[in-house]
Amino acid sequence: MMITDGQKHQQPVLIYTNDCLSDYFELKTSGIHFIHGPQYTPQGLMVEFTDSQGNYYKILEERSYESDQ
Amino acid sequence: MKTLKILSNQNKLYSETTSEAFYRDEQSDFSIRMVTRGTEEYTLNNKTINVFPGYFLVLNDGTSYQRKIYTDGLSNTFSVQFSKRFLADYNRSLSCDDTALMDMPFDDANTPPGFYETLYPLKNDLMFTLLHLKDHFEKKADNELLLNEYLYHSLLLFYQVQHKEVLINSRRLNFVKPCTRNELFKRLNQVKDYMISNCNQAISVEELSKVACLSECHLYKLFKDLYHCSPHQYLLKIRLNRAKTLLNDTNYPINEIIGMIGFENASSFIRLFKRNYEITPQNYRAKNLA
Repeated sequence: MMITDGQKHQQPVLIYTNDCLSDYFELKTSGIHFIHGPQYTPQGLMVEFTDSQGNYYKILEERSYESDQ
Repeated sequence: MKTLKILSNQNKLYSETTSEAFYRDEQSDFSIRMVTRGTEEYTLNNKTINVFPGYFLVLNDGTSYQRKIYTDGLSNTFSVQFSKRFLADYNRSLSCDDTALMDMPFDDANTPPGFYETLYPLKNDLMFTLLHLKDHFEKKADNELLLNEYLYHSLLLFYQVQHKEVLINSRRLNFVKPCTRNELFKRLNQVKDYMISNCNQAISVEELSKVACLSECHLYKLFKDLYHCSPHQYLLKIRLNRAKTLLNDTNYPINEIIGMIGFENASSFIRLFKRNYEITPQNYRAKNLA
């Protein structure tokens, strides 16, 4: 299922997790449709998915990053 | 205690918790080796490298080495080893286009790449991913697909670290001949590894100059070009970082930590720690305990 323009502008339900990759793997195995694979963002590791009602979710594992210097 | 898991694609996960161990004449696949507590000493290609928390060591496929652990308390080590085939396949997936990959999905003639066998900083995404993988492994997760997902991400993130630490950083050495640049980069890496491995001892510029086989002035200039600071400032950063790790992860008294990171004077340590992190070591520890 593709994300529609309406869903893109919809406020996502943000779910915080300690281990995004593990949650992504479990949910994907149970048939959840992900908009894309895990993405490394400045806030941490994040995945996005929609449910069958078209609700839009983000799972975020917040990470505090050290500077590269 | 030692735990080894060999996945069906021959990737391996290994963890060990001990205060004393010695392994001679070891050989490994391409591997990423980290320590979450204590220290582990590797000897390879006539050099000795100590791995502390905050760094990881990379060994190429087929490298012979010996490793030992002799610590007061327990050391906890973790390594991931990638099979030749997995690494070559991953590397090929980066360099070939989709058509070539579809036309010839299994190219066994493809050889895995080699990397600088040096200490890399373990932080940010690669650190989080390896710590999660270690956690799943130690909790006896037996889902190979999940473990391979972490291994795939570890490799992807290692390539990013390697790209920055080697390919981008080496360009700061401005030489026309690539072989000159590569040789000097290799020698400066040896200096960096030496400083990290021996940060608890007094290190002189003469020693570093011998490690690099470069005159002191030449070393100083090249080091500044590559790391944007002097060897002395770099060593100070290593020591303060190590102090942070020890303040976070251990209950050692601050006076003992000061000795462990090669500082002779408590007041200069406290002053430098505060100047760098805008907090005293005592308050830093208290804040992280809270």
